[in-house]
Amino acid sequence: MEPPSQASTEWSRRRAATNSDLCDPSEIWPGVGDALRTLLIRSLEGRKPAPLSLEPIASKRQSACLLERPDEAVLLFDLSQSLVLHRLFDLVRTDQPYDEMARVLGACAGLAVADESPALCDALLSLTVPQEPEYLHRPEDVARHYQLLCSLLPKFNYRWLRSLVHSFLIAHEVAHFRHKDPAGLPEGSKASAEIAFKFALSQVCYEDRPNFEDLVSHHGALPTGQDDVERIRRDLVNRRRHYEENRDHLIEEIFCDSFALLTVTNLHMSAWRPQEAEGHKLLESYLAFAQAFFLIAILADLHQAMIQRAKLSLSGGVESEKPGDIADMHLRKMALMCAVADQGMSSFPESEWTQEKGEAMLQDVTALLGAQKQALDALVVMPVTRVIRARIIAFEKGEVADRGSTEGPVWRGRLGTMLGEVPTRATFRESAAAQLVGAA
Amino acid sequence: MNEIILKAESQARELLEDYARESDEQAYIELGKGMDGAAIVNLVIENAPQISASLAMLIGTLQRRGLRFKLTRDGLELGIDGPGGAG
Repeated sequence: MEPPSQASTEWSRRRAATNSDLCDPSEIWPGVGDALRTLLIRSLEGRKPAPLSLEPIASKRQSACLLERPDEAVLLFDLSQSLVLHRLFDLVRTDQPYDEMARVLGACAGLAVADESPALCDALLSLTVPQEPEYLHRPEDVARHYQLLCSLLPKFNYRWLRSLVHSFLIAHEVAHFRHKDPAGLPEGSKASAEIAFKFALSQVCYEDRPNFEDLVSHHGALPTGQDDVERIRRDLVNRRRHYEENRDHLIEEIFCDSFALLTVTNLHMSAWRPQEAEGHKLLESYLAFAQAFFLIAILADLHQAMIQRAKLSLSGGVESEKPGDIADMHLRKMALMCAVADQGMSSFPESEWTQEKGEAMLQDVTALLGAQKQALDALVVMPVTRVIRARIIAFEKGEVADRGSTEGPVWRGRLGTMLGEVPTRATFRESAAAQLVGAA
Repeated sequence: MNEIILKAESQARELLEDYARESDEQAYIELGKGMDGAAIVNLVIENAPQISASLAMLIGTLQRRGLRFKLTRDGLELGIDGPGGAG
């Protein structure tokens, strides 16, 4: 019998080995790869019996990727990325303060630069969080955002979270794989990604709006000096230039995120869709699900953003001018709002679709997800960024004690906070788990 | 197995593709897209116990154009490096 086209090949195994720099792929429990391959087959929906295999890896880069050669492709599924995303989602879901989140993300940023700068890696792995809260917002605004977050928590209480994160990462890469073959794609999906790109650009690059200063200060909620305003304006001008220059690449990424939303929603239908619901009831359940999906997008963005900060420190200092691509994931996150709205329309029969209804849906979704984003920004993203940035600045100024050279990699046995001790032991064989999070 | 991989930044893609097309060696291109948005462009040469003259010329061109790259054989990095390496 011919093996299924998603089976490992000699090449896919070889590429997994060269890209897995935290441990040899043979150190990953076989059941992990099997479960991921099942999700891959479900994501492909039987449409394309192509030679696409999946290999689990664990890398310092912390990013899944699709690698293609002329006659086959492999999805390198990075467990260090998925374990971090689970961990971050869990910290939000169980309403933990941002302290632990800062330690997790500090370790992520450090690990990403471990080869280039073991000393910065060490400084970020031993990050401590100040006792004084690092909130930027006024106490009354923090309280308001916290109230909103509390109302969202029941929506994030999914038992099938693991599968949600995994299928998000897999479906995104599958979308890259299918992108070149427009015949197999949902109708109009590429055009929708272009519209979403324009929408996101107008949301993210607001430097030419007349009320720019008011927007920078979040309508007066954040203290901002004239220097901050000008620095942010310069950043946004750079970013706009970068986004326009890399339009095609970004539209493909946006397409892949939208495709991932669609796939993940379909795969988890039984978990979110109420029986016999239609119209507004169906829409309500779908939007609650979309909010959980959007939380993953927020956390994935924050994860990459902190890695980018550590890399920026190495290339010229964390306070140097940011390269245009530093916030690509932020743009993609905003574009996702369009995909959520588009998909929300399918709660209603096609005969009821009108342009006005579509526009109203986008407005509603933008308000809903925008409020969620603002709450997470205030309670998590901004304080965590401040803590990590302060640590990097202290390191750059030589204020972090150098622990001297240690035997073996600086991260050895120290990734427990980042990856979670229990999930790591369930994912890797004993020797690899000990290397990553320490002996049991 | 003597597999040489030249990992380059995406601006070098056309040069690498031309090389793979015209080369007598068993060479092909691998392209990758990361969830983090990073692009991967690899030139893979199979059964290459050493760097051939044509590959050395390609390396020279990359260096002249200031394009970053990294060279490995069977997963181990080789000494020649572009400005800054491709990371």
